[in-house]
Amino acid sequence: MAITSLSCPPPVRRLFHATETDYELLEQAVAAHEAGDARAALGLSLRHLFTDLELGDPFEGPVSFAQGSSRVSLRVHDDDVEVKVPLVQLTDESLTTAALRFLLSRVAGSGQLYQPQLEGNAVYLVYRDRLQRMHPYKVKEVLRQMPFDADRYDDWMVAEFKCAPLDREPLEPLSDEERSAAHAIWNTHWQEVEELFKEAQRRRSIWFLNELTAFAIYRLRHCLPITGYVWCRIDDAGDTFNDTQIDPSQREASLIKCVREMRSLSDEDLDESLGHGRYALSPYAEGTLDVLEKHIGDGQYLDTVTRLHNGGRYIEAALALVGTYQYLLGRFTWPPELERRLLEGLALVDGKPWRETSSTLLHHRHAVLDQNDEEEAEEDGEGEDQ
Amino acid sequence: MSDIDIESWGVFQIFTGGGTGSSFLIDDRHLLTNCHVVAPYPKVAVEMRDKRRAVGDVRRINPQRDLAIVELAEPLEDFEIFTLSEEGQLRAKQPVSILGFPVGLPLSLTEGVVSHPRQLLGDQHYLQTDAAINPGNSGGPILDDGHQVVGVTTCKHRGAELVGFGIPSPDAHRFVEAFRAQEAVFGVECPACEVLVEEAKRYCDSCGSNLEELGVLSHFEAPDLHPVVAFVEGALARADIDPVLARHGQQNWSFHSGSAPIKIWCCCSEHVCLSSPLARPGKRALGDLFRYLLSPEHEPYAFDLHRNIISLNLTIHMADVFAPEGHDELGDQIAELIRRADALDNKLIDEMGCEPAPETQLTFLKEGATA
Repeated sequence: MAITSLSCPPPVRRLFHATETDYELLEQAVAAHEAGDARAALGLSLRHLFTDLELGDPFEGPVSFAQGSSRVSLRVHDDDVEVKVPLVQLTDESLTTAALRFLLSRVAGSGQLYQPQLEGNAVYLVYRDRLQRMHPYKVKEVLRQMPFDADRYDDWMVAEFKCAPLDREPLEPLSDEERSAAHAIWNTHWQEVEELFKEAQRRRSIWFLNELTAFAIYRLRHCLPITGYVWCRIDDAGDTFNDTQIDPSQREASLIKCVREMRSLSDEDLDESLGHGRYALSPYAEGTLDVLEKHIGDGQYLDTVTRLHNGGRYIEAALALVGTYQYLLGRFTWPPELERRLLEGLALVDGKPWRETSSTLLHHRHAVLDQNDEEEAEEDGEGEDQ
Repeated sequence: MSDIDIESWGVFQIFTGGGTGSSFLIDDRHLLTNCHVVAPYPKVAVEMRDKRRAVGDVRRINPQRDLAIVELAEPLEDFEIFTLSEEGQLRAKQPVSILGFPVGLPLSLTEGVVSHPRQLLGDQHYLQTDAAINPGNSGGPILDDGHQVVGVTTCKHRGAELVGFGIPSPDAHRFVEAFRAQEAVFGVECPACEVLVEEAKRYCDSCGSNLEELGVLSHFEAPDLHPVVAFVEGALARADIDPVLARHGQQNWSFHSGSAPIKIWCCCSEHVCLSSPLARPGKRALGDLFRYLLSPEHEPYAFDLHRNIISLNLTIHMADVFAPEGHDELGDQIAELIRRADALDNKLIDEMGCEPAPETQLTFLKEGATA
C-alpha cells in the first residue's frame, strides 16, 4: 500500500539550546595572544568556547570535559599544552593491523593539527604545542574538532576492529518510556524511508531522491540520541546516498542497502547505540537567520516546493517541507522560541495526508520566520535602549 | 610526425609562483614562452626530463604580444631546437601540432589544422587553430609538418571548444631577432612602439607613451609576496632550498630532498601543509610498521597512509604564519622535515620492508650513481 503520510513524533533526543556565543571574549583572547600574554589568551579562549561550563583553571591542573562518549583532557605543563582524547585500547582479540591501518588512513592526515598516537596499546588523539603558540583559533579548532572525531571513531573501532573502549565517558541510558518511543521512531522511520524509496523509483526524480536521502539522515539526527556503531554505519552509507554528486543508481543502491541493514537490526543492538551524551560543546551548528532564510524563506527552493504543491504533487512538497524542518532541527541549534515553533510545525503535520502537510507547513514557515524577525527586533530594541 | 620521439624535442615546462606553462628552445640557452607564463617573476624554474629543475632568468618581455625570453645558465644539449618561421604563409586547413604540458601532464602533443592564419582579435592578429589547447600549454610551440614553429600557443576561447590561438611566428621571430641584437640584461618592449625599455621610467624615450599606464613598470619591480609565500619561501631558504626551483603554482611548492619528494600547499584558509610521500607498505610485519608510524616519537611530524602511500606530514596553522616571532622555530621544523624525509624513505625501505613510492627518486638516483 502506498505511503499516505509521515509521522513526526516529538524527539527523544535532548535538544541543545543555542547559547549566545561571546565573540568579544574571542577578540580579547586574540588581543592577549598578540600581546604575548599566552596564559590570559588560553583562559579567554576557554571561556569563549565553554559558555555554560565552568571548566576550571588549566594552570592549576589538568581540566577535562565530556563530548559524547569522548573525554577530552587539557594539560598545561610549564610552557607546553597537551590536548588528548582516549580513543580505544588494542587487545589480543583486536584486529590490530586493520585497526592501525584505519588509524593511519582515515584518522591521521595532513591538514589537521591533531593526530592519532599509540602509547603501548592505547590509542589517543593528541595535540601538543607550546603555550606561546596556542593562538585562540588553534585552541578553538583543536577543542571543537578533535573530540568530534574521537566521538565518531571510537565506537566504530570497538565494533569493527574488536578494540576495547578506553576511558570513555558513559552515556546516560534511556528511560523505559524513552526507549519505547525511540524504538517506535526507529521502526517507523525505516519503514517510511523504504516506502518513499519505492516512490522515488517510481517517479525517477532526482529532486525527490535528494529530499528523501536528506530526510533519511536528518529525521534520525533530530529525533534520536543515537551514537556508536549504528550511527557510524548510517553516516558511512549516507556519505554515498546523500551525496548529490554521486551517480543516482549508486545512491539508490546504498540507500536501500542501508534501509535493509537497519531494519534487520535487533532491539538489543539498537539499545547499545542509544544514550544521552553530555556535550560541553554543542556538536550542532549555530542556527542563523541566513540558514533559516535559505531553507524556509522566499527563494528558489521554496518556489519549487510551492510549484509542486500548486501542481498537485503533494507528496514531493510535503516530504521537502518535513525534511527541511527535520534538517533545521537535526543540524542546528536554535533559540528556544524558534525551536518551539519548528517543533510545533512538525507536530501539526504528524500523520496528516500529504496535501494537508504541505499546505500547513507552507503556511507555518511564515510563523517561524516572523518569530525570527520578532527576536531580531527585540535585540535591536535592546541595543537602542542601551 | 608519427615516427618522432617528442622527448628529444626542446620543449620544457616552466614553473612560477603563479602557475605553470610551456616553453621551447630557440638556441641551447634560451627559451621562448609567453609573457603571462613568467610575469611578474624575474626568475623561473625550468624542469628537465629527469624532473630536475634549473633557474631561468627572464631576459625579455613583450607584454603586448605576450612573449618572453628566458635564459638558462647552462646550455641544454641533445635537444632539437626549432626554427621560427619568418614568414606567415599559412593557409586554412594546414595541419599543425601543439606541444606542451597541458594541465600539468608530461610533454604532450595535440594535432589539428589552421582554422584561420591571421584572425583579428582586438588589435592583434592570431593564428587560430582547432588543435586542443589547455591550461599549461601556454608558451609552447605550434609546429607545421616540417617542424618549423608557426606560432606560440597563447590562449583559447573560453566559451567555445577547439578555438585556440597562437602568436604568429613572424611576430615571435622579430622579437627573438631583436633580443639577439641587444645587449641589455633585462628589458621590456614598449607595448606601443616595441622599442626596448631597459629601465623603469615613466615615459617611453621613443614614442612618449606612459609606461606606467601601459603596465610596463610593474615588470621592473619585484613581485609582492603574499605573507604565506614569504613565510614558506623564507623557511625553504633557511633549509638551503632555492624557492624559485620549488615553486609549483600559487601557494604551492614541490621539490625533492635527496630521493624524497616534498610538497607544500595550503589545504584551506587555516593550514599550510607539508607532506612527503615516502614509501608503500610492504607485505610483511605491517603491524610493526604501523606501530612505528603511530609512535609519538615523530612529533611534531606525523605519518598517514593515503592510497597506500606512507607520507610524513607537518601541519602549520595560519596563526603561526602570521606570527613572525615564531618563524625561526617553524623554519627549523620545516628544515628538519626536509632532512628527515630524505633519511626516512631509505629507512622504511631498507629496514622496514617497504617499497618505493612512485614519486620518490630512489631508483633514479641509484641508476644515476652507477652510470
